[in-house]
Amino acid sequence: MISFFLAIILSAFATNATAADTQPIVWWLWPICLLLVSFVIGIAAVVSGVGGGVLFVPIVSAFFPFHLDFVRGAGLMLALSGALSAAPTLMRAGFSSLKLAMPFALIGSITSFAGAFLGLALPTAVMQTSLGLATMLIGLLIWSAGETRAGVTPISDRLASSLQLHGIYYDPSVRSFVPWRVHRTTEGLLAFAGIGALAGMFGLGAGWANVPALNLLMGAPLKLSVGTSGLILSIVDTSAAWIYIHRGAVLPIIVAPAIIGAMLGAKIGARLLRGASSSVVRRAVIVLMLVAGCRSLFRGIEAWT
Amino acid sequence: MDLETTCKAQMSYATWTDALGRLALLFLSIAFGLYVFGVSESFIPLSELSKHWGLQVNEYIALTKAPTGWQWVGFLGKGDYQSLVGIVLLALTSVLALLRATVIFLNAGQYQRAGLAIAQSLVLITATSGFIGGTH
Repeated sequence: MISFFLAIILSAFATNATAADTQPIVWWLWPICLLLVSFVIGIAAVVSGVGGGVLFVPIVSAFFPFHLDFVRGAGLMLALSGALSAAPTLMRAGFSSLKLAMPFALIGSITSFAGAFLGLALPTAVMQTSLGLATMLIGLLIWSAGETRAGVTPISDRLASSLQLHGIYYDPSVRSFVPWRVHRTTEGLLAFAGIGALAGMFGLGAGWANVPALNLLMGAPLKLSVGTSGLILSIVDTSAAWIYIHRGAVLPIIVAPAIIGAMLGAKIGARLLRGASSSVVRRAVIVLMLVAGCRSLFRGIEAWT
Repeated sequence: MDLETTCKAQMSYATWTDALGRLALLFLSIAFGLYVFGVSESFIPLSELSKHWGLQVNEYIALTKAPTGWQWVGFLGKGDYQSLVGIVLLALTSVLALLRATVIFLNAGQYQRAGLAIAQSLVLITATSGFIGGTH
């Protein structure tokens, strides 16, 4: 937390400086700060269960001098790298289902592609303002939703049956096989269409929305929802990321420290998870999102005027 | 049969994702280290980059003449685009793993799943190509 606040303080001093004012000797300070901030985001994401992707863009765009276009490209790559790191383990353990993921990843990847295209076409003021509002709304949604819960296994609807969206996995924590089915499949497809568009437009990770969509809306077990969310995210974000790559909006000087920092932080976060109070960290993260959202909103309004 | 094929496809997807993801991160780490410490020559000098990273991407491209689309492949001698190789590998991971899963579904005669996988692959290949939404 010390390094995080140091990074924020340093960036706050320099935030009002224009890019042209940045002295050559100072340039390396920003990637280092970004590495530290991403490291803390990686820790907080694991401990709080909020997800690093949804934290990165609001925080970095609010406190660093990088343009929002480059921050969004980096945000997508950060979320993608995290999801790809976790996916193999979860798939092998049975906590992630490829057949459950595919229909929703398909619709999400189409809309994220369109969202990325739209996001890069809209004026910066519009995107900055929208990001501020979206960030605060997401923070409030996470606050009000609380922890997702496991529910009763639903009865499959017709679409879920035709797509064969059912299965079984072994949960070692309860030492038994857990059958799963889903319902409200049409509503789920619509939800993932919206989630994909948001992810592509704003460069946000979608875990904060994928898990409730699978668990609360469609009735998939919680562990399966968390595991499959990452798999869906990796496909959806891939689609949007290519738009940013082709447009030149992915800069290694921003992406590499972000990915490296977040992945190191996630490893530390996994170790801290046992002893840390996830609810306290979660609340701190939500407050930070609201602050970052306000700052993005004000920056957007400044750009308008 | 269905369960066996689905498991096989899922395990294969996991294996490819694991291998390609690790390779991408390794490449990114090494290439970026060489780039940021000045061992590799940069397309845009690092000291100059900070003057431009606050610009909107279209302005940035116009000012720096940085390549877009797949044009960056012609600049692989530069450290910034060597680092981009690792990033591109990360972005290719899902595409390649999905194509492998598609082959498994097709070989097993699971045409519904294969159809979904093919549709998904087409979306990702379209995005990868840059034909729509990218620059040429």
